[in-house]
Amino acid sequence: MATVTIERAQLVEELKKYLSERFFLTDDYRTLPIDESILDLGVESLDFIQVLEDIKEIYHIVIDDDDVLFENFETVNKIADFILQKVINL
Amino acid sequence: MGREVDVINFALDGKIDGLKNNLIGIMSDNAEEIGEYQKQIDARGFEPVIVDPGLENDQIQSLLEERQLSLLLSRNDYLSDKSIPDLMLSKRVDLKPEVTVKRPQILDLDSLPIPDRSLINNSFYLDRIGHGMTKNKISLMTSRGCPFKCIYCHKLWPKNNVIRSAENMFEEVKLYYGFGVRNFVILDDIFNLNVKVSTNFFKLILKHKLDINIQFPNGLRGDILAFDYIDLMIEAGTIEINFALETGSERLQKLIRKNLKLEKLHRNVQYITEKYPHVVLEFNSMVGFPTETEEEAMMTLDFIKSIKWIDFPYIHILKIYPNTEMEHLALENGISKETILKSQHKGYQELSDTLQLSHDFIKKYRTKFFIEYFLRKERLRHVIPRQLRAFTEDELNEKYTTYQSRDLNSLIRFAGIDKDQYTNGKDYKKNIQQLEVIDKKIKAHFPTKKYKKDAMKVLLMDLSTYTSKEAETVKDSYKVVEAPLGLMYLQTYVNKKLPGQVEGKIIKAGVDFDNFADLRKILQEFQPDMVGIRTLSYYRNYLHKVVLLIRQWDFKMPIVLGGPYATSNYESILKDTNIDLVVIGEGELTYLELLEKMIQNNKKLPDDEVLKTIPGIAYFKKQDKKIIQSYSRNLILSEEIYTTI
Repeated sequence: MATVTIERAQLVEELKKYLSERFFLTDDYRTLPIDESILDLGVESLDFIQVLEDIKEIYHIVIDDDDVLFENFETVNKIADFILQKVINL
Repeated sequence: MGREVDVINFALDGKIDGLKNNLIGIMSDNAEEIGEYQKQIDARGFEPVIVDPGLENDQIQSLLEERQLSLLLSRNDYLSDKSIPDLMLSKRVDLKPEVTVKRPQILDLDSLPIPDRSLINNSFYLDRIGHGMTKNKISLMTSRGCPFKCIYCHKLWPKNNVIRSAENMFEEVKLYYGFGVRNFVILDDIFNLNVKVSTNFFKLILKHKLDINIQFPNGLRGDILAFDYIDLMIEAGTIEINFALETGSERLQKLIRKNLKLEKLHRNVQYITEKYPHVVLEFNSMVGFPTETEEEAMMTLDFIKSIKWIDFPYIHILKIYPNTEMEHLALENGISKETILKSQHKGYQELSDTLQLSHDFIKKYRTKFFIEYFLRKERLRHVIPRQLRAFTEDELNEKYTTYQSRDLNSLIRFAGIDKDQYTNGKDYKKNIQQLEVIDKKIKAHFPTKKYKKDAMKVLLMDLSTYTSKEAETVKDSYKVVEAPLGLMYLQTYVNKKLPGQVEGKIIKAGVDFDNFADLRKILQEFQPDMVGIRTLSYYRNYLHKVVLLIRQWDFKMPIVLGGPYATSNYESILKDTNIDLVVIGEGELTYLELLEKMIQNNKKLPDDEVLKTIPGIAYFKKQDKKIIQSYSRNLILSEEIYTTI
């Protein structure tokens, strides 16, 4: 269960690892850029259903329709911000 | 290894004529394959020239020309994005084909007999989804010709829109209703253009109390609908409608001359969604028009997003077809001819260099739409339960797989829908007979064909689907299969006019044969006097590959092309000298006349003097064809060598 004490830096690393491995983006997840659009890194439009489901499950957060804006999921950093905001509001 | 030995033996053992030098071209980037070929070629005293399949078409052409290669061996998959007619010519030829006078449009469609569906394997088509979403359906064509001037369209067909009479259409529907069919798909682009006839058709359905589902998967013109017309068509059984928005920008509507009245379309679609939420709506749009701005592209998304809800909204990448006004517009705006030609093999979802908007923008645009509209749980929870009431889970799965490479269950899970509440609900109209029974009734209805001993044999082939292996090669996941209605029209007409004189066999790729060896077997067993092929421009490379193989297998009968690709590109098609003749536009009358002339000529293609009297065809005169053939390069599909030797 995630808590409000979740470390941002740790979260970013987890997301990099998850995206790299789930969508085969890079051999070494540590090299994954965190401010580049994940579309440019190799995630396809259709993969977003998986991203949303996995994030919901891993971080035990509720993702409402109004949260599902491309801007919230465009980069690793933005996804991290979104998750932190959700966790804080739990 | 071993294939290379057979390929080289095949190429050099006198089966292929016309080697002009001792060079043999090998298109490959596989070191092991190249090494093996080199060994074989050296052993036979020839010299290999390696052609990198990764080169651009033009670079390959130059290399082939420079080395004067008259023989090129290639694997099937390397040719998927190459222009085969160009590869087959060792020199650019400026000769123009003969084009006979235009064939007048058939104005009385009722004069054409209802297509004889006993000519095809109905069980197969009834068991698959086609353009319509249901499986157990009969597809109909009710009108021809289009008066609109959209510049992205080939405008292959006459401007005059003609439609069958309501009674004639109803007669066909009633026939299959009597056999137990309950799902009907009208394939026309704009069925509602003739309001009077289409209204009468719906009224006949209601008057005779036919309890059917009707689908319009290829579109209705949404801005000319009236509320009472909508009420009537839905009362008559309409459950699926496709509207072609193309763009939400008024400026682009004018530029592309679609001239859709956006407000009216919006009003009508809103009316349907509010009053008839069970009707499944599809929406087609495009992005990437020359001069389109990002703001204008967003207007299209905003238009769709303002409707609650569209079941299947499509965002296609604009495909610029050669010989269209859209091509002129693109050229005027700095998109090169070469870029346009290179984009031809791309699918409607693939990013192309013809786009002036950045690829980055398009990727974000589509993703934004996908996650903010398509994946919106409110939308999924609204549309999926209704879809489950009207269609089977199996049908929906096929639809979603084709639509978004996404299975239905993943969306159901994502949206948290309890599927069991809705499956096969009250709106679903199941055929009241098993497919086999319907097929038997169809066969019993249409008269058994009896042919004269010396009847001419024609193999009519529909190549608008891939075989499984080809689909894998070109990474095509589009699984929709529609019965070859156009070919049925042709053969039914000829059977009526020349009874017993022409034995026509209709086959479709992926249905009647799923690999090239099976196609060869069909040709060997049937021994046609002529092969007629129709396809769409998207399948052009595949078509030329199949034709090449037919010749590689040493079949020498005339090969005639018809249909959309042939009509729009006959000039370049005929440079593939394996193809003898192209039928332009509507085929029935031309096909009949051509066959009559061939029958008079011992089943051979008649001479130029006779051909020039047949309206609606294009061909190279014998002397010109000889010139082109003298520049022809032998191309051998090495992968198919075992279907050849």
